[in-house]
Amino acid sequence: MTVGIVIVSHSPKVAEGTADMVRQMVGTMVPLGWCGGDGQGGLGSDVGAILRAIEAAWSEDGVAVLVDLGGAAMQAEMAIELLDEGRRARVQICEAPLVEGAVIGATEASGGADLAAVRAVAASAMGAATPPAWPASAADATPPAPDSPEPIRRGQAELVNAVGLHARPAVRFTQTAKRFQSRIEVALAATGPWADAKSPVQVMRLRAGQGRVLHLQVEGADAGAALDALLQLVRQGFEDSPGLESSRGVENSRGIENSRGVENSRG
Amino acid sequence: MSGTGSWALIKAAAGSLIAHADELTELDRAIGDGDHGINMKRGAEAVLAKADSLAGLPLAELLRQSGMTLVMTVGGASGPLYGTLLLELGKALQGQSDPPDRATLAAAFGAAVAAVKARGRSDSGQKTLLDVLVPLQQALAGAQPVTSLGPLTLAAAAATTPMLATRGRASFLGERSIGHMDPGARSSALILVALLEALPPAAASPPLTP
Repeated sequence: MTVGIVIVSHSPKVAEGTADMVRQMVGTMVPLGWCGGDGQGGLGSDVGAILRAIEAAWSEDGVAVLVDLGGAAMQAEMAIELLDEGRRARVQICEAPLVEGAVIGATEASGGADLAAVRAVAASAMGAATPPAWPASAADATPPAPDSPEPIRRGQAELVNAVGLHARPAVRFTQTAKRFQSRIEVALAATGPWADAKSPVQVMRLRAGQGRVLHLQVEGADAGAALDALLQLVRQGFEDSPGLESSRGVENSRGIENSRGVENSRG
Repeated sequence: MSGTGSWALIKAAAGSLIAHADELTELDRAIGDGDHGINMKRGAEAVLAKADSLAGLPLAELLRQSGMTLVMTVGGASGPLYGTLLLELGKALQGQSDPPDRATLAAAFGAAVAAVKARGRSDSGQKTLLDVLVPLQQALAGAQPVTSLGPLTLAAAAATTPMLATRGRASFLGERSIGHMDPGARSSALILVALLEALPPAAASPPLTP
């Protein structure tokens, strides 16, 4: 199970639109709830609706709540306090911009991150558009132990798809990595710095475009299989991984990825 | 204080909000988004609509259920703030003498005001309802005769007029918030004065220290 995401806006349109963006990014694998409006047809927020959204997004691993303005934050706090004692501690508000926080938080949740990690990543969403800011947990800080019983497997592959390791390919990459027990790290150079291949946000922050070469180092009992699967995924341009989206979603994503790709190439 | 005694308190407070809805809306139009009167009236009417199920309840439970109704119907920041006030007051009065004596009431009100401060991450001096709640809490805990509490409460609301709002919706206006009474301060004064006037003798009469 993954951490659930709740989106609370004063506007139902903003809430729904943000939920659409989250769905397009991570499909249905992250439990998602949203609400907006005052329940009377106007702008505002509504404790009862927030409680229903939390119920819709409920996960035993916890729920991260994104809010837009002050009143919504206060209403969300109130809603959390009205939950059963057993659930209360597992629902937390993120100090993050609504849209960016929801999308990037859900992306991280889709990689199996816990609630604290999802909140931390959502809170860092403001910086997501700036050049790589390495999270404190960046893998380069902890090189594999020299007496490790398992050999480290290394490999490299060129990004052939048009958008490189953009958001959705990054999600697929981390989802594939998560299937393996091994510790998997990825970098743009053989010398690092290394990012955790199971963290969508760390992978996205590599900002690796088409033509860049990904270096992988894998350590663990299933290292060989993990390395093969990831290299194959990259070389095939992320084409044949299990679909996350409807055909409409694919269509839309292409447009979005193209425009983002242009943006990246300028930078 | 079961049954009609407690319900009379709630009915008085709700009635006062409904009667002053236009005035609250006018105040909110000046420094807010102009819906405070409508929102509080909606909450008050929702509470009154539950008369059949609420009227027989002991005070603590009645306050909790009324608070929950406000949370679910008022919206904005006012719903959680007033809801917290009543929910916490009810929680603090649970298991206490009913009707509560003044010391019990003062302690319970103190706990409820602390909860409102925490909910709003605010304190007195920021041109909010806390500029009414805090002076009343201090007076209630002190030796002031109960007859002086109503005027004190109304004066505290009026005293928000020259203040600069630094919290809440009006703070967006900065200096332009000066010269208008805070709508939340006014609505809380209306509620509290109605409650004070309807208080039964046990809670009202003997000041702790004469």
